[in-house]
Order: sequence, then structure tokens, then C-alpha cells
Amino acid sequence: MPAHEPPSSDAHFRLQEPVQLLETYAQEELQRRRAANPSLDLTLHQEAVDLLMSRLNATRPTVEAVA
Amino acid sequence: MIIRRLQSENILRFKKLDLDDLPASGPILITGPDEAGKSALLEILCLALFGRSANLADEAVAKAVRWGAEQGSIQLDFTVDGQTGYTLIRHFDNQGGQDALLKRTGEETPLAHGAESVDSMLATLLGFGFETYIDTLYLTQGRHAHHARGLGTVKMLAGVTTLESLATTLTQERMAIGQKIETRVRRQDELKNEITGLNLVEETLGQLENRLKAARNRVAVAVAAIERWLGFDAGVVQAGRRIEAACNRMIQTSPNIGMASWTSRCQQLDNSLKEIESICQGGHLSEVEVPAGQVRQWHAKSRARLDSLGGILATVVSEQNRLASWLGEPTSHPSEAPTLAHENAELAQARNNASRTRTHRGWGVMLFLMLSLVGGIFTALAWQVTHHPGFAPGVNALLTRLLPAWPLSPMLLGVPTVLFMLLMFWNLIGRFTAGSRIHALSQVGQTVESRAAQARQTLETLRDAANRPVKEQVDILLGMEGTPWSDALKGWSKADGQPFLDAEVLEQELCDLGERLKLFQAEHALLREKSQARVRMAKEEHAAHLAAVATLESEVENEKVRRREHARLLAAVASFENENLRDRRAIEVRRSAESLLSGCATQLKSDFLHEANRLVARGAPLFTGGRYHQPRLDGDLNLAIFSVAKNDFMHMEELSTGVRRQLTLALRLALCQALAARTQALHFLALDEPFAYFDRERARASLAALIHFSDSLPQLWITAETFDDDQTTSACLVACSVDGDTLTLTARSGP
Repeated sequence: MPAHEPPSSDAHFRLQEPVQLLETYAQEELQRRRAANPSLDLTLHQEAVDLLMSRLNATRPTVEAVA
Repeated sequence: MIIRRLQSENILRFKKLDLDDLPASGPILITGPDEAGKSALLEILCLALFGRSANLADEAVAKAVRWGAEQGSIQLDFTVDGQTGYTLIRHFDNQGGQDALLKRTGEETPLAHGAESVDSMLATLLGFGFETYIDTLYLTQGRHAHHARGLGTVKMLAGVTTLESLATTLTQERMAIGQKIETRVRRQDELKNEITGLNLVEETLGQLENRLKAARNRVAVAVAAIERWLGFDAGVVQAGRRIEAACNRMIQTSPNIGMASWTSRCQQLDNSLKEIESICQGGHLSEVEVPAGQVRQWHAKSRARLDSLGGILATVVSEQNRLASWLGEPTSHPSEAPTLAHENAELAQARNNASRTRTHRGWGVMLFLMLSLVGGIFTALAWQVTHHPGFAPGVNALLTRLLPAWPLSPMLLGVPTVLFMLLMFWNLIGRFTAGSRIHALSQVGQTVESRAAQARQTLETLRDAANRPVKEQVDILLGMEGTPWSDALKGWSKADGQPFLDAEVLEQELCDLGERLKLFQAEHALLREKSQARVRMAKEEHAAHLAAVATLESEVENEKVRRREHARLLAAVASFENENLRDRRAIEVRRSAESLLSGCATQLKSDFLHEANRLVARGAPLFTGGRYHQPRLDGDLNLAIFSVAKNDFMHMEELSTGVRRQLTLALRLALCQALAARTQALHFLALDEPFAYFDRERARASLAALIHFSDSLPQLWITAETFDDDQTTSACLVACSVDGDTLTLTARSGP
């Protein structure tokens, strides 16, 4: 790429939000386990997901809050 | 984060520094010879942001104050989101102390005050801290190759830190919960041992309560016994006094008292004796134990004598009542026998009847006398006419014609005459009889009057006698001859009546009573001792039962306490069990959550490395002139890259210093882009001598590439000893000199 050429969209670092990824990952994991064993009790898994979501979605620090 | 103004006083080598109106985008090129302060300028920027320097140890931050000055300050104006401006002011002293203040530009009220508060606020505001800043936005000569420290930044940028932090928290919670469970289990074992140690028997409390109930009943019985014996004792005392009083009254008796007084005294003594006998009977004493036996015998004897006289006097009273009733006087026991008035009335009635009969008979005599005379005359005439020759035929014919039954015998006419005569005599006899009866009735009346007079006299005598002393009364009654009581009274006066009639005998009797009274008093004293002994005994029993009740109450209460403790321990064990069940579940949930976090972190890290590889692959050819490409970055940030010249992948330690710095710059730029993406903000980039090992062409090309490398890193602070003129044309140039200690720049106008 020429040095003076404006950056393309590929120049941006594509990052995933950990909360979103975790939510997706947990749902995929849930579906995977359910597919593996439809009679499996997934209550524990769901409780774990709820716990993680509640912790991660807890109030994040803001400038106003810290102030 | 874009820097808009940097000011300082007495920091590092600058007495005064003021870089104002800095461009939000484009290169800020800092030039000057060695020791001119190029690196110091970027270090001041770092000190302003974090209060520490990459080149000074934390404890040596006092060296940031310019040599010879006591204190220095830095003021930094910057924007975060391109609009909101912030002003950060830090003060340092040469003792290592510092203070800080952060506020929005144009506002007086600070957002944070104090170094710690400002650091915390900045971490929130910027989204990264000192280490990340060193690993990404600030390339410093002192730390240009510290890959090992970059791992934390990679994790932060990848978002793994968030997950790992949460995982660490969950692990700590799980461990803490596990410890709680272990503590509870130990406590449960202790509680179970305590429960076993209590050795509680279900029936014990009921048995103790039954025993307590029985003991209380015994107390109540003892109380009743005390009351009963106290009452018995009081009754014995009272009755004893009454007996003494009755005996003394009896002893003081004189022969001159009447029957009523005798009876009253005897009755008083009898009542008092009955009272003590009743009390003794209530006290379950045998007859022998009753103390008034001797007095009772004396009383019985006296009573018998008195009753004997009383029976006689009852006859007297009965006669007295009879006489009074006969005389028509008011009496308490009126008799149904005819009274004097009644008898007189009957006599009067009889006299009247006799008188009337005598009158009627007299008239009868007169009537039948006249009828007899007329009948005789007619009979004689009839005889003469019917038997007279001259008148006989005519008279007979006439009579025959008038009277069909005629001719009657003339003798028939004589029959009525005879009958009339008989009736005349019958009446004459009746009249005589009536006269005789009237005479007899007159005599009866006189007799009745005589009896009435006698009765009145007797009645008066009896009444007078009743009010006299017994002796006089008896004498009067004995003086009345022919009375119903005469014989009985004579017998009584010779036997039982002696004490009543003879003063000496009476005195002996009363002396006897006095002796018996003394005996009674002695027995009474003994009885009282017994009763008081029984009271004491009852009280002792009561005290013993009370003590037993107190002991049993204590035992019952202790048993209840033990039962409550048992129940509490059971509840505690159950509660611990429930809590352990809940916490074991919580541990399982956290384990599951940690597993999810681990898997998610792995994926995050993998995705991040993939993206980092992509961007390093984009930058590496730029800085190496196309000689290296296809980088492979592993999870520990170890970089291998394909060398075109050697046609093989090479690790960093196999490369020359210049290539390593070129590749490291590419990696840093990738991390800076990741930081911009993670914080979703534009950032400045501070590179101290990034091209030190680059040849001239490579440096020129790299600078050109840097300026347009990423629009998320618009403001580039780059130091170099020199820049070519064409490179500085469109840049903000900051020229440092070795001699000057003041650097002032208004970017648009130049220094």
C-alpha cells in the first residue's frame, strides 16, 4: 500500500465486546449441550449465564459516577 | 485522546514549557540535537497524564522537578471525544510529593482533586492506564522493547482482562464459599457433638413436670395442713376459754337461781364442750384424747338431773297451759279441750232448752186437759142421747143421714178422750222433768264456777313458782296436793334434786366441777402442745416440699433450656445444611461460569490475535520495505515472520536490531489501533526516536506511512534529531535546543 494512501476499513482493528461475545458464546454452548443431550438439565448453565450477564452488565464506571 | 495544549514550569530540563493550540491531527515533529529535551517533552506528557514517568522509577519522581527548583507543575489540555475538553494539572515537589486536579475546560468545579482521585478518574475517562499507555501510545527510548509487559495490555485490549477479572472474582468467591462450607461443616460437626452431648431423652421433661406437679400438690396439702392445724390450735384455745368461762359461771352458781338460769348455764357448758369435741373430732383425735372428759361427765350428770326436773316441770307447764287455756287466757300452747267459756255457754244453752221444754209442756198439759174434758162431756152426751128413748131414733136417723158410717158405738167417742188424758199426763211428766233438769244445771254451773276459781288460783301459784329459785319452786309444787307431778317431784327431790335443794350438796358438786376444770386445763395444755407440735411438723413438711418444688422447678427449667438448646442446635444444623446446599449450588454455578469465561476468553484472545496478525501484516511490509510479511503472532506476543530474503519464517531473536524495531513498531501500531477500537476514541501517538535504527530512506518512508497509517491515531508526536524539509512542511514543528530552558510554541505561528 502506498504510504500516502488513506486507510481503508481494513485498517481498523475489529474488536468484539466481551459481553456480547460471552452472550453469544453462552448461547452457542447452551445449544451445543442441548443438541448433545436433549434431556440434560441446563438450569445450572442458565444460572451461570445469568450470573455472568448480571456481573458484566453491572454499572460500569462513568466520569460522573466516579466524580 | 487528543492533546490541545501542554504547559509546564520547572519540570525536567524546562523552566517553562508551553505548547499551545496544537493541531488535533497531523504530525507534531520534535527536533533538536541530543540533550535538547525532545524525549523530555514526551516524558512531560507522560508525567502530566499519569504522574509518573517511563524512565523514572516511582520513588524517583521527585527528580521530575527541575534541578534547583522546589516544585514544578504541568497543565495539560486535551479532548477525549473530540468535543469535551479537559484540563489536567499536576504539581510536583522535590520531595516526591504531588497533587493533581482534573476539570472540564472552562469549568471551575473540578471533576477530581488529589492524585489518586485524578488517576482513578482518568482511568475511567480514558479507558486505559499507565502500563497500557507505555505498551501502546508512548514509545519511549527507555522501554522500547518490553514485550513481556505487553501481555497485560493485549489481554486488556482483547477484552480478556474483563473476563479474567470476573473469572478471578468468581474463583475467589467460589473459594470463599468453599471455605464457608468447610467452616459450616466443621461447625455442623461441633453442633452435632453438642447435640449428642446433650443426651436429651424425650420423656424426661414430662416425668419432671409430673413430679413437679405432685410436689406442688404436696405443698398445697402441707399449706392446708398448716392452716388446719393453726385453725385447730386457735379453736382449741377458743373452746378452752369458753369451757373455762362456762365452768366458772357454773361454779359461781348459788341455790337461789331459777330453772332458766340453771338451764342456761348448763347449756353454755354443753355448747362449749360440744365445740371442743367438734374441734377434736375435726383434728381426728380419739375420744380419749378430748381433754374435757371429766367436765363432760359432770355436765352429763347435772344435765340428767336437770332434764329429770325439766320433765317434771314440763308436766307443770302442761298443766299450767291447760288451765290457762281452759280459763281462756292467752297461752303458747292452747289446748283443744273445751274452755270455761265454752262450758258456761253449753250450760246456758241447756238451761234455756230445759226452760223452753218446761213451758211447752205446761201448755200441753193445759191443752190436753181441756180436750179431755170436752171429750168426756161429748162422750157422756152421746151416751145419753143415743140411749134416750125420746131422742134416740131421730138423732140416730139424722146422724145416719149425715154420717154414712153412723151408727158408731158411743164408746168409740171415749177413746180420744182417754188419749187426750194420757197426753196430758205425758206433758205433765215432761214439765216436771224439765224443772228438775233446770235445777240440776244450776248446780253444775255453780260447780264450774268453783272449778274456775280454783284453776285461777292454781295458775297464779304456778306462775309465781316459775319465777322463783328452783328450791322454792319445788317447794311450792310439792305443796300442791293431787297434782300430776306430785309423785314424780317427790321422787326427784329425794334423789336427783339434792344439789338443787341442798346448798351443801350443791357446794360439793361445784367443788367437784372445779377439780374437773383443773384437770381439763392440764389436758388442754397438753392438747395445745400437741396441736402446736403438729403445726411445726406441718410447717417442716411444707418447707421440705417447697425445697423439693424449687429443686424440681430448677430441673424442669434446666430441661427446658436443654430442649431449647437442642432445638436451636437442630435448627442451626438444618440451617447450615440449607446454606451449604445453596452455596454448593453457587459454587457449581460459578464453576460453570468460569468455564464459560475461560472458553470465551480463549475465543476472544484468538480473535484478537487474528486481527492483530492482520494489522501487523499490514504494517510490517511498510516498515521493512516489503522484505518481511505474513507475521505469526502467538498468544505470548512472540512474533515470527516470513523473510523474503531467506524464504523462511524467522523469530524476533533471529532478526537484526533494526528489523526488530521495525516489526515492533508495526506491532505497536496494531495495538494502538486495538486501543482506539477498544476505547472507541481517537488517540495521539507519542513515538520517541522511532526511526533511530532506520536508514534514511526507510525512515522517510516509514514517517510517510505513519502519517496516514490510521485515522484512529490522528495526532502523531514524533521525535528525531532532524527531519527533511519536505517532511516538516505540513507538520507542526517543535524545535528544541540544548541551550534554552524555555520552550514556547503557538503551533499555528511556530516557535
